[in-house]
Amino acid sequence: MSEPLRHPDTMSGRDPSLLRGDVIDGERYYSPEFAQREWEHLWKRIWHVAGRTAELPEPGDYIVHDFLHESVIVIRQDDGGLKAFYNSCGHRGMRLAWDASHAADGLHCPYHGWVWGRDGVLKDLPDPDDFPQGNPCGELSLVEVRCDTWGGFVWYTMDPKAPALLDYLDPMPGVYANYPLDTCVRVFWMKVNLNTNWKFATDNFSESYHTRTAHPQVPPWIDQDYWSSRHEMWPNGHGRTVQPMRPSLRDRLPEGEPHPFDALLRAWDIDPDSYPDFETKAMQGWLDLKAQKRRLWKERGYVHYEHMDDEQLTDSPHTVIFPNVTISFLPDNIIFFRTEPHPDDPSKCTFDLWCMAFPVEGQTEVESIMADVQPLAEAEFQHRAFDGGRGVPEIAGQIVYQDMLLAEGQQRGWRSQGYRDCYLAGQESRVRYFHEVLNDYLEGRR
Amino acid sequence: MTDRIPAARLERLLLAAEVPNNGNRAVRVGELCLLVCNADGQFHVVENRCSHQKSPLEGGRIRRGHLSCPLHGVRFNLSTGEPLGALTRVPIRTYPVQIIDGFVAVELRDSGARPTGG
Repeated sequence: MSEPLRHPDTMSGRDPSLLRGDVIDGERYYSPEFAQREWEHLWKRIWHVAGRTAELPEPGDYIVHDFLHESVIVIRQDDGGLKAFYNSCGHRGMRLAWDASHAADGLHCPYHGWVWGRDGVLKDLPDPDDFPQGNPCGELSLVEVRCDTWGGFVWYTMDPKAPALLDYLDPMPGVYANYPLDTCVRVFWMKVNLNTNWKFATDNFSESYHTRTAHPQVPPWIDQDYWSSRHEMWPNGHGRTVQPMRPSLRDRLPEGEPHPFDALLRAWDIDPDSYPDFETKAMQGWLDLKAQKRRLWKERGYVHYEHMDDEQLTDSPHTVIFPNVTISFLPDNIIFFRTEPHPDDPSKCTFDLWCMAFPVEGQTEVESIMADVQPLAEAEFQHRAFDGGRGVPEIAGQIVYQDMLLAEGQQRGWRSQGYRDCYLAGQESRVRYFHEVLNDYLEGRR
Repeated sequence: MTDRIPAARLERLLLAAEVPNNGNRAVRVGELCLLVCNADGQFHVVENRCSHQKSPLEGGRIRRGHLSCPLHGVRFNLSTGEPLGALTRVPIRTYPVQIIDGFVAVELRDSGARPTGG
């Protein structure tokens, strides 16, 4: 059995003695002043995900990422590289692009018709001789923003002095180097308006203590015992919980109820009835599954398994990338979750759900994990209001839907005079760590 | 007295084989400017005029059943004509398509004119 990579900077995510003990006050979840500090000291400095590289296959393809009142265009260059620009015409400041599309011969401003080349340089405009200060054609450029790629994601930062992307993400690029992330197909793509602060999701995804209560369908599938999970966190603020994808031994389904782990074993030609008891099936079956996947991946076309270690073949490393991105690196799926603040109301946010799957030859549809079975093809974007769940029937009853159901109640509780601070379990230590790293940004320590 | 309803007629626009995959070609039928689009083998005919700033849509990139306006990038669903995004909420007109003897044909109710090519 191959050993998973342990990064030398890994800290225990279950050890509160590593924390300062900063209070997680309620005001940070609803105060406009706090949100403004986040804009100045956090959002303008971190790396943002603009989209997937698969959205930009050809020169001229571009995507648009709106963040608060800012907007950034990322456009594929003629040499295959990417450039990012603020979405504001150099003439009078008009927004240039609204949605992902294709710039045939450049970005045309809809106001006065200035045309910016894919490289951001002004290439045409009406009445070029009527500029006493000089014809700007070929002279002016859109204001460029740093961009880079990792994991099939397009990232950008508004901070010219930010660390390089791979340094910012450290150690994630190394930890997940075995996954061919850029081959994933995004089979479900939805943005949902939620009535909660964006930090709800990072708090939520930094612990699995809530799973037994909020997601009762999960323990028979992913082991929720904190002593069999690995809780890790890193200096840059990132963290993860690694859980075996096997039944928790203390959560048993009623006798006779079909068990999801049995179905998983059968899918890999392992007979679940060959084990003498439930405990052996859970523990030995999980080991047998690793071995069986190792034996059969090639003939079954699971080419994404080629470099995975034994842990990655069967387990669930649920990973938070500071401050607002969470990625579940499952054996056959990559699930991307992200919240972003509402431009004017810190009690609201948008929640992005991207369900991605590693393509297997011969498959035409896949289990998306969070949105049932979907065609194995790039999905179109959908934007919804949660509306108490009525706005998102496609994900009703799913894990992420159950999280969304909690969002508004959590927001209301934070605003209560009865809320002073969290009282955290050891396995929730990363919740406070997240806020301490956030405080470091806001208070000039990072 | 009854209103006079123009007789519907099938107008053959061009050979389907003349439109490359995920390409398009403009066709004029009298005063109508139409765009024949091949979206992964599925043929669509839409008006060749963007509902945003009235620019011709010919030459716009087609991907996954959507046509991008070459000028400002508005994307239109080729099946419904509905735009995506915020630049315009106005759909472009779409025409039901038939393939007859290898020709892309649409049903028109206006009078007389013949296609004149792109």
